Amino acid sequence: MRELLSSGTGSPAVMAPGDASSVARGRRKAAAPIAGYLGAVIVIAAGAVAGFWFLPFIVGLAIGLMARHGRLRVVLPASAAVAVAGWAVPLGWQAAGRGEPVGATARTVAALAGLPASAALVVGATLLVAAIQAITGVWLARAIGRRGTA
Amino acid sequence: MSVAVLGVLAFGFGPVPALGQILDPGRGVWTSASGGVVPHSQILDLPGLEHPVSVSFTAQGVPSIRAADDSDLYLAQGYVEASFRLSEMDLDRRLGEGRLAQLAGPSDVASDQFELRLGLLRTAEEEWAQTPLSSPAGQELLAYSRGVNDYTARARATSTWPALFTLAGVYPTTWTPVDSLVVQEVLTQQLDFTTMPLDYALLERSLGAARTAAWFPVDAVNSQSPYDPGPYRYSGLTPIAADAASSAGAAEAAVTGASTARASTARASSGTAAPGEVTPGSAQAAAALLAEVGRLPAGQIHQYPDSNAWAANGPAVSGGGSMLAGDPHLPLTLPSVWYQVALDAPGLTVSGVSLPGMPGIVIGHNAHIAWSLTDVQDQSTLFYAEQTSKRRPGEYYWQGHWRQMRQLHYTIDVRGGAPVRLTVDITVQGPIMTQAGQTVAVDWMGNIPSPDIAVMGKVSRAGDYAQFRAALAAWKAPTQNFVYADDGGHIGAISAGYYPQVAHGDPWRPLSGTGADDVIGVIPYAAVPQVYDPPGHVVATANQRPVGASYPYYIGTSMDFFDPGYRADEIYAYLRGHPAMSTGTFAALQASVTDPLAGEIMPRLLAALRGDPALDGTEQAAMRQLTGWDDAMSADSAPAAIWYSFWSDYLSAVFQPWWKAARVPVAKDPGALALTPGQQECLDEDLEAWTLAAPGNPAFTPPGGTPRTAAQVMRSAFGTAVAQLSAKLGGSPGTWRWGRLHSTQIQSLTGATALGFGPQPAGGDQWTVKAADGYPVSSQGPSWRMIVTWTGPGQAAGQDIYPGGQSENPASPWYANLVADWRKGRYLTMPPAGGYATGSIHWSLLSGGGS
Repeated sequence: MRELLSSGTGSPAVMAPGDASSVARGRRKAAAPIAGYLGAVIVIAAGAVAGFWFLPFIVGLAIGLMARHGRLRVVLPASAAVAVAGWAVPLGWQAAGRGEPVGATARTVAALAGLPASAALVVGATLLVAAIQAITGVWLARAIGRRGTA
Repeated sequence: MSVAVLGVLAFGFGPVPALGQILDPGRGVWTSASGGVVPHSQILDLPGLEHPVSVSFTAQGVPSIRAADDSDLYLAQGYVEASFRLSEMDLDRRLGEGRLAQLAGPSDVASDQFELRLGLLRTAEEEWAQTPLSSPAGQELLAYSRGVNDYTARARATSTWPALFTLAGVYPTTWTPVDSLVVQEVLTQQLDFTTMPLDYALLERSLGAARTAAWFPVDAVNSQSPYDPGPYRYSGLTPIAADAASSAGAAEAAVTGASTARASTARASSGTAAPGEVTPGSAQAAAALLAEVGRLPAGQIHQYPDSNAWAANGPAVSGGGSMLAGDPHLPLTLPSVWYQVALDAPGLTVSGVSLPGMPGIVIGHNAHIAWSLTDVQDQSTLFYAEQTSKRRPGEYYWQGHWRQMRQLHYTIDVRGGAPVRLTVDITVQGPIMTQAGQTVAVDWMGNIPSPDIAVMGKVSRAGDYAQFRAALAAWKAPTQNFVYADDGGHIGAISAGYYPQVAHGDPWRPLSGTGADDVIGVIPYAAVPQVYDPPGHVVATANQRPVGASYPYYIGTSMDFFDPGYRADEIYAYLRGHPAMSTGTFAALQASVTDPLAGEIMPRLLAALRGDPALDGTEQAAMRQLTGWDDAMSADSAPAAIWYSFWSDYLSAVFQPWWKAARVPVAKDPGALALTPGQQECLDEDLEAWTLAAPGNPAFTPPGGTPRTAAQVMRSAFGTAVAQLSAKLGGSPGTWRWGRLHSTQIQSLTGATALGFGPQPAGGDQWTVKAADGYPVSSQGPSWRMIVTWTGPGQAAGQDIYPGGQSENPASPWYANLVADWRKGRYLTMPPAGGYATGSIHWSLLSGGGS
């Protein structure tokens, strides 16, 4: 994950042509961020099922701390994407895996909340809450980082 | 800043709820999606069960529950009903217990204050205190509560609450027998609590005593069809049971046996009511209380007089057995007020509809008898003007002495607001409902504990009319017409409940609280309206006054919601005109949109219009539409639209000048005082009777105006109606379809528009057998249609339909799946009483095993 969040912050790796070990290293270097990404998504998704709704914030905070030297324009979208994916997975599983009417439920919730009965509204709000948490976490990490280096 | 964002997501802020928790895909509102799928067959653990219980669901979600004993049966019923109707049950008990604001916020504080004053919770608590724990009803209530709590425990453990609770962040507390009795009280209030005496007081203050007595008489002026035509006999009075609010009367007031109220009835009917009896203070109090009631959610107190139930036997029925039809008319909601279920245990086999939150069933049939209910519409609410003194705060004068009011203190929790404190003062008559201008208490029969669940348990086990009638003897409120048919080919009806009698005073006005006008007893059970195997082989109740004018007891005035009798007339005429009826014959009647009032008035209107040279082309075209019309209020009928608009304008043309001259305070209670067809039924009755038999009645002449006759006013009103329809609908009269003016809406119980159904163009009106109350949008009507045919001993064929579905979850296929059939007049086959395995989904409920 550190690699993922560091990508774009340091010098790009330059691979010598025909250097097999460097290819492997490059692959590992590329795989590690993906694994980190997936791991974070799984953590958030599992946390949601367990009722730990605040995990997107925690993960965002962790990402922010680990990538405190990373570029914000990369770190923020990445952390938001991790959070959104982390909350989308359980929703997707509910709809596709268990066959539950997630869209109709979203419309019901919107109507009960006094909003236009739109499924997209509630699904969007849900994913936005996950993203906001992650972004808030990154932001807090940056603030802590700045204080630490001051 | 981060902490603030997290705090808002965790706890909410102002109107913004705790979105972090609410939208959590694993535990938030999304878990309610699991209730949106058709349940699968499964094995479930239910703590408290003694033996395994089987539940089988039809494809429409109707469960048949089979258990080894009553306790297991009701436990399973509680579990099943909570599985599909927990929000509805919780909303109902909150409403009755004055705890709505805890869930919905400040907008419901007024409702909570009203209910806590009136005392539904106090009555339910008293009822439970009077119920021996070892009695069948006590065991039934305890088992049902256990089942509900088994479900809420499961919902809590799996976080699968209905979305309403997750969204509000307020979750159901433990269900108790008192909660079930509060649900019973809520229905009693909806059927039995009226403000008629307050409206009468305002009318008398404005129109004058004589005119009010003449236009709002005790006995309706039109001709009606009582189901119990007599002869009647005065049988004294039965002492009234203690009121939960006041514990008044019976012991302290002598039961004199006098029928003084009936004597003053004659005075009111003759238009000679004593003037000046409604003081300015009483009128002010009436206006204040009506304003408070007007702020309550629609349907919380009695509004419309519509239900049908009839039975036929012998030669009137094909095969010579008996048949029963019932369609109670209530606010149409999603989910429905009803939950359909069949129950089966040794000694109890019954199929019908239950009220979610209450054990047992309310309407249905067992292996030998079938029954349905309509509301009696009698006067069950009496208001008392208390004598108080500024020098004696907290006291009132009763029977020659100053007495201390009993005080109760409540705190109303308000979601998103500060708690509201409420003090309720109680006199011997009942709770003080207002002190604006005049201290007014209410003596409501619904405040007397009524063992309805015990009674329905006995009715469900009855095997013949004697047992049925004996069971209903203990019923107190709400007064109901119980219509009956059995497998021995017998039919009957009895109007069970308390009919309060006063020794002095006019109960249709606010009465004196000093003691002389107190309730002194009720009509003995042997003398309440009833009939068994009538010689005509048919019996029908449609909220018409159940007895004739010679009935020796006071049961209410024409202003007290008795139906004008049009539906009953239509039903009787139909039943008497169809020998050897079948299920199809009954079904056709339940779907009838024939307006009997139109049938009576139309010849007079056409006679008034014929030869009128002043009719313009459009009016002549409209008149041609009415000629030959079959009086059917079909959605696609043009004459139906013209007729209804005409009657509305006719009513207004006759009475509006009087209303204006007298400054009738319509704004104080538009529902009762506005000149709208069907809102104040006795004005429709007056106008009908005058048009048919007294076309020169002085009322047709406006105050200070040129003398007019019925025919003149009809011509004028017809012109007004045609002009209004032209302006509103355009085109030629042939295109003015009733469905363009009138629609039906089934509202969501939550008030969320998108979760309801309609409005959709619909036929019928408030006077058709297929009733549609409310104009232009009707949201009250047949909440359940049932037809039971007895073909031999133990042989019943039942069919039914109701507008809604078994699940309250809008995402469920069982949410509104029955609406289309209901609209088209189609029926489903009822699960048989005592039968089982009617569906492919099975739940095995176990104790100590399963998954």
